[in-house]
Amino acid sequence: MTPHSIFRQIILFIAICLILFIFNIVTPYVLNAYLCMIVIYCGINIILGTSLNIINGLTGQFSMGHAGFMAVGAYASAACSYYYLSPLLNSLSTSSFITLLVQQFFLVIALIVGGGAAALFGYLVGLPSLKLRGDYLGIVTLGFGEIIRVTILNMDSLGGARGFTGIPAWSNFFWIYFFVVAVVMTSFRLMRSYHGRALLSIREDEIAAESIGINITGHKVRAFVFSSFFAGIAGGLFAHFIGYLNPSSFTFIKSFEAIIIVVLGGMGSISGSIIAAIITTILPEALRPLQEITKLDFRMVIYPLLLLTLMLTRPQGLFGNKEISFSFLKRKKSK
Amino acid sequence: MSALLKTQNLTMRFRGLVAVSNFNLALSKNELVGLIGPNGAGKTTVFNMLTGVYCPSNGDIELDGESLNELKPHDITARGIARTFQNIRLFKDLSVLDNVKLGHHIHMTYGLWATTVQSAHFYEEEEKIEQDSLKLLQIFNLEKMAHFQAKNLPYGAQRHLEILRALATKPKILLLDEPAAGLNHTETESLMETIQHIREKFDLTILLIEHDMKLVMGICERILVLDHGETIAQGTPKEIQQNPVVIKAYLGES
Repeated sequence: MTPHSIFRQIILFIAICLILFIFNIVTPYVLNAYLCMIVIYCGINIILGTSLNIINGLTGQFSMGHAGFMAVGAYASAACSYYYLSPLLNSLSTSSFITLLVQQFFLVIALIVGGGAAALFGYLVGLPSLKLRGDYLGIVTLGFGEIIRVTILNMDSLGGARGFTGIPAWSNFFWIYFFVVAVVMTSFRLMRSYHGRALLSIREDEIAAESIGINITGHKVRAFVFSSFFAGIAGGLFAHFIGYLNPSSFTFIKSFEAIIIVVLGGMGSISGSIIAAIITTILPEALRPLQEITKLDFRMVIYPLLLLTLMLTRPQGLFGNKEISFSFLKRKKSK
Repeated sequence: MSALLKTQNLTMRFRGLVAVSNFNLALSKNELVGLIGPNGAGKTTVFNMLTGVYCPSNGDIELDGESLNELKPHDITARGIARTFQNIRLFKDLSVLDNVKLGHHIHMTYGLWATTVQSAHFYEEEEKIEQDSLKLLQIFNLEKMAHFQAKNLPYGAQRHLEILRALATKPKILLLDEPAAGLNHTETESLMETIQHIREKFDLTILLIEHDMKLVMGICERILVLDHGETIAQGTPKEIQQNPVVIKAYLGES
């Protein structure tokens, strides 16, 4: 059996699930509710950053509407579980254990619906990216994000400006980090494949990429679809964790947060995005005590200043385009 | 013998400017043809039309009897025409090896699912193109620099790498746009040998643009001369050297 067989993949999958499951049980005892919340937000931001990295970092297209995709995913999956899956679950009168299992299954369905809806919008937004580049694409995607938000604001069935309440809180630590691992691993594997190399070549030089037979149109759209699918899942997880959605969570500021994660971590570096997502989530929270001491909201002064210093000292981002490498482990093994 | 690549009355107009007019070319298999002409004669425009970067205003391009008109550049590459660029267009931030691996793009078959689960198919193909790419790098002795970033290579090596990347697409026809530009005397000489070597090894038909007359006269079997978009002469290197029209185009009237 080859070392890369499906068997090994399944073992890996089960191992990850087990570890996450143990963590899921242990975390509430180790961390208080506030810290748990930060850990959860870290996870959602990692998915968001890693997914935006596919468009902005790998493919080199400047998208500023990531919150829009997240919103589509969040609302689509929330609507799916609120209007269809939750009543269905309630109508099943079985033992609580089976209900619990079915609930997990329904969560995954809702997330896939959310991801799929976001991917569809990603496809629609990906189309103009064929003609536009740089700032122009940025403006189009920014506009798209706002259109989504305003549309949701005016949809009464989704709660409108009051917000969408009563979403079943099905998601938990396990599912959020399950998808963190899934998204990160998929992005890594994508990057190391010829599909990912094609995306990189588009970032480097479109004309040269075309000249060696890369269909840049197809690959750009694909990048948008992938990225928005993952963003949609992040949105779905967010919705099912908080149980409440408000359009004001998905303004362009949310998009910029995602861009900060990608730029801070280093364009095109997945490990960079992960670390940057953790930093940008924890830093504002870590600065909270400062606010209590000084009685002034210095938080939003210090936080940008720290980001500024970081970008001035490392303009290429924390990781540049490098990755944390585990190759040194492999070398040891072979000896 | 029928021509592998044939163009008929190929014309490119940019608004009022006629960059290339009525360009007729018939490349037979395994030929090595040179395309020369003063600056601005339209040589690169011809390349851009052949590779689909520009859509010709008039005329036809046929490869093996199939029309290439209105095909996208990546489709044309898939049908067997690869090119290099006058101003080097490497993927600068990627490694030398990745640049060559990218050249294999059109021959990759594993899908996205195979990528996600890292199936055996994925590993087989990745391993194969890694070996193929390293083999290609040996042609120009670049295998030691395989993990360098492409932008850190010396200028001459960057030109070589671009040729290798084009070769990785396994083309029938290779279009070289000034392969010797910026190379010194010895480098040009070794390039001449290499061009002939790769032509035999990969069974290629080569069309090249070059200003270095020593290279053009030394290896081309046939030469076309362009001036202001018109084909003013064609023939063997000897004929071209003695052609008064060509001399006039290059040196001006006395």
